[in-house]
Amino acid sequence: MLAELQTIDAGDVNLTQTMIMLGVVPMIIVQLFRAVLEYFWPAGPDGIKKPLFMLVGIGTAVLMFYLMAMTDWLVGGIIIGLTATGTYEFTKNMGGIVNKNGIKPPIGPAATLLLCFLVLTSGCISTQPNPRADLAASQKIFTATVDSLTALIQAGKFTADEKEQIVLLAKLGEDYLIQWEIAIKAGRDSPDIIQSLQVVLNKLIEYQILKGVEP
Amino acid sequence: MNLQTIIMMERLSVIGLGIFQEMLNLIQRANAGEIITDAELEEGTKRVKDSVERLSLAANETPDPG
Repeated sequence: MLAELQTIDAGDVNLTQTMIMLGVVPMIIVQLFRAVLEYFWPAGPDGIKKPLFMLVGIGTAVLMFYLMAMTDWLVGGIIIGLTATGTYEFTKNMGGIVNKNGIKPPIGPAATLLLCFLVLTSGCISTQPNPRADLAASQKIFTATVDSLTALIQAGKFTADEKEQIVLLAKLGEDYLIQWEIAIKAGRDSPDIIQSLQVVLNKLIEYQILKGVEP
Repeated sequence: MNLQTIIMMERLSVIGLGIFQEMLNLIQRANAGEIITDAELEEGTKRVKDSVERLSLAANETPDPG
């Protein structure tokens, strides 16, 4: 199973797990770019902005992969940049920017939690041929994601319910990484990622049912 | 844009640049065939725990938006 997940064969291009994990970086950069642009140019037409965000996402991914000397950096960067920017709607207005009509659109709780779930689990996937480097990479990505969510919480971007769910997801991720470290030290493979993801997904579905919101 | 949002964006930028640099370094080491030691993995786990602890504290201490 892990060998099958090691790379995604996109035609002639292999998207490595590192490329997919690093998709979080252009996603954050596009959000920052959007926040700054909307602050200085609030009345700018959407017809120009949306393709611009996509170009920034693709450009960032391509540049990152080129600097990291990854194989297939150009096509891989375009695919990951496009995918990362495609999640734009999920992260829309996470910075709490008031639009040109003076309205601050709400952040959908389902979209927010889905984003948190994606970024938190992005670091918890064992697919590399070097298990120790893979765990170290997952620990780093997970820590950066949790620190980012802490910054968002401290800026008052989440409701009490959302904060509760985010802490729950983070604790599940922490437990998973601890189990993974124990397994690696004992010379075993990582814990079953599919089973772990099912636990997290069930928690999210329970939350959505509790809130009476479509997941 | 309020001060909280500006501080948040500054922190996200620092985190983003930091993880980019760390990942670059890690990939170079892995490509060079360098072995990640037990001590480094333990340090990584400690950082994960500290990070989740900070998140829990922030969730408890930060008032709800409104």
